[in-house]
Amino acid sequence: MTSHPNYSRHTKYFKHGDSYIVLAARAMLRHRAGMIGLTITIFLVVVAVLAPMLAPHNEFEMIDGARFKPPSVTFPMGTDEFGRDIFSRILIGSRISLGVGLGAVAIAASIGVIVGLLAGLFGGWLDILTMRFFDALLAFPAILLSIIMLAVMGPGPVTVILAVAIVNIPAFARLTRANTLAEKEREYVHAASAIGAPPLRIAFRHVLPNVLSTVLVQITVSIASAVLLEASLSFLGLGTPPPAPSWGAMLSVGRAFLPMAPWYGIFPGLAITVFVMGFYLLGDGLRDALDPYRQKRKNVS
Amino acid sequence: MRTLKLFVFALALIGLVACVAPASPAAEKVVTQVVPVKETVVVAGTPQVVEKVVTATPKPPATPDTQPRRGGTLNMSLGPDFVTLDPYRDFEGREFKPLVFDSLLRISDKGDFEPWLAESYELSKDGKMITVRLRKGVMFHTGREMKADDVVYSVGLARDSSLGHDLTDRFKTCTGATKVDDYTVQVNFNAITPGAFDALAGLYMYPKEAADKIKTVPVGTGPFKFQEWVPGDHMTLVRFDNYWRKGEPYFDKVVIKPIPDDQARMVNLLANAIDLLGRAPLSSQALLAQSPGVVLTTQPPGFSFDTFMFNIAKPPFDNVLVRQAMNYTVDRDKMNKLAYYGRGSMTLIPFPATSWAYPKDLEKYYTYDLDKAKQLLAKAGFANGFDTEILVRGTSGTALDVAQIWQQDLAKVGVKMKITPMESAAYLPKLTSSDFTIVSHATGGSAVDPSGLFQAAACCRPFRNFFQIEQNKDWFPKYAAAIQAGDTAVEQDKRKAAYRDAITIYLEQGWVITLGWRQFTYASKDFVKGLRVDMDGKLWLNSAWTAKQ
Repeated sequence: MTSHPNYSRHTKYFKHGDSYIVLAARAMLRHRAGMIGLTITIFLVVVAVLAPMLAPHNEFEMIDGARFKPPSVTFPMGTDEFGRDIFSRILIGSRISLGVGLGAVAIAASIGVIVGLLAGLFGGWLDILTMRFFDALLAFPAILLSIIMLAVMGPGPVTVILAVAIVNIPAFARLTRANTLAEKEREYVHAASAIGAPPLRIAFRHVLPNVLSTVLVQITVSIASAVLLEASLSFLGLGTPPPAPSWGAMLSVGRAFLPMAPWYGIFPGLAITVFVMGFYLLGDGLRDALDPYRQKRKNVS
Repeated sequence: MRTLKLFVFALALIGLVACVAPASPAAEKVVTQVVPVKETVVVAGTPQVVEKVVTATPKPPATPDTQPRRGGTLNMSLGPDFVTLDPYRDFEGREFKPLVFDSLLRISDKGDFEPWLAESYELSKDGKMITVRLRKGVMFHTGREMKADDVVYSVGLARDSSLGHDLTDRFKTCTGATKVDDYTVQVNFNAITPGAFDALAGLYMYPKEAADKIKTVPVGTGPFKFQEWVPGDHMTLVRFDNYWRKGEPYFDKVVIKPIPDDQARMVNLLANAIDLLGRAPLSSQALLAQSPGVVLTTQPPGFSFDTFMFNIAKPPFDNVLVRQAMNYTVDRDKMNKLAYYGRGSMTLIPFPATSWAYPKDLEKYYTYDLDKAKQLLAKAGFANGFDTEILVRGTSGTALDVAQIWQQDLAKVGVKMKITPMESAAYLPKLTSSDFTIVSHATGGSAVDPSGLFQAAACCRPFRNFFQIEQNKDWFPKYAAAIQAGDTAVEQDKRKAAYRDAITIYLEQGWVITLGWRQFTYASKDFVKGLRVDMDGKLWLNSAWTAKQ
């Protein structure tokens, strides 16, 4: 983020020499929920990266005579109906959740932001066409839309990422468009166009950095909902196919054994809860920290 | 701040549940109790109705539970609601048919046929005519006696392919029925029809005057008379007082409720909302078996089985050595333990042990032997294995579980198999157009007569075979000829020898790996006595009664 000319109008509230980023970071550090979210998120990312080293067992290994073992030292979270270690499966499963979450949101954000930016800036038929299309997409509940897409494309890790990405595009596009509409009337945009900057340069060089802070918040929220959506799809048997240790699929199978092996359903459910909560709290914190008006209030008080 | 507090509270709550639950002794009991059930089933190897009562605390035998008593209402659920009540169609809830309808003969507990509405029946020497002598005094629910004309009418219906029902295939060679007198009928065929008795066992009698509304108002000669069907809510049947088996049935009323969800059905039974449920999935049978006062009744094996099947036109499975190697990688014991929850009847022969055609000498044709598999793969030029894919019908259940277990063993011989579960709507077109390499699929002849396997089962029929065996010019003609010989002979010895030849080719060529029988299981409260489940998985309640005071 090289230039933030629009924040110059808040300069009177800022201590001299504090950049926007430093202020945001300071606000973030003060935000308790946000910091908890950040800690959880970093912890989960580290776990996902190191999962193969941390897992005590192979996640696919069906250990003879070890089916439905309750949690113990050998199997910290018990075993499933095939005698596989649930703890190892949850650790490895974090890679699927994180992979789908990050992958889908990366795709959704790139497409959504670009489309939203161009639609907002140039308006006209591009705006009408894309926004009506996204309205139509938004009319479907996310889960229904992704079920339809998976039914067409067939289940698999790549198709799940695509399906989750597609249902997330409209949120990014609409958000970016709304902010772009506000930004494009600012003086710095007029200034840039007055000195003859080409439209695409204005879009990506000047407007984009100024709408990114809201997009960043949307990204964390979308990752949380993407993980939840992947879990829901796997729960319905449409997500990552077995034997891949998807949390949603484990929860779905574990549900059948809840009366006799409660750990089978509880731990994947707990993993999903913590993961989603972590990203939501992080998003919460980021939203507050990146909001210049809130920074202002904190600084005054 | 509020979010934070809520979050911490939620975490603490979930954590508490997680910590407390595993410690409960009830949870541990599962593992120890499942095993004995498995042993009973497998060691005894009984192909008959498997019935086992598991009670946590042994009850004193107080009431005389042996004498059938009249009265009471049976509340039950067979799963989803009925699509139609037409007895010539097989849809959800088809297991109810023997409650309302009867046929001339029925599948016996020994795995053959016994006269039912017929007093006796007889096959002519040339094998093309069955003479049926009807019981006297069999009444329809309408109050009219069932006579020869009704049989002639029903055979006519069954033959009518324009009606598009599920019986037509079985009556393909039938040329109709002729009435000899009011209680004697001759059913004629234009060729030797080995499946004729199966056809008659599925031919449910209903009066001509009820034909218009048979889809919603079933009328037959069965033990219970239809009262009402409120779709999505319940169907009520009441005792038919003029039932031809004097004294039966014992229940006053049977109420069938649609409960599609497996878990919900189980909970309803455990909570006493229903006394009997059908289609208990294998995964909940372990829990049901250890619930006090619950009895499981399982369909005898014989009608349908789980398999892995190869498309022999797709390399590397065009090589018989590879297919044989695959047959050696299947660990049926482990599958029984893990996928069938110890309650399976595993087999590599597609006939039930009760069938006269069962080739006992072939039942150990393949064993679980990874070394042998490796040798065969090396011989075929795949010493380092290969990558392949299996399609699974449905996204949960036994077909998927067995595939996951097999995947582990295949990895040990270097074969990496990807599992792709699919919804039926996507799966079936791929199956029928041979667009697959391996499938995890349940198939079967749904017939008592061994010919059913070769006429109806996707695995084995020598026509419309999705596994491309018809392309083979070397052994396929022999296979088809053996089936033909078995289907057209009249003497049982000759037929048995011919079918044995066919099964030998089936095993040697190994395009189908038969795993174990698919069996419907009913769970009922222990006070419900005298249930019968036949080989077709249908429920018989004519001699059922309740011991509840």
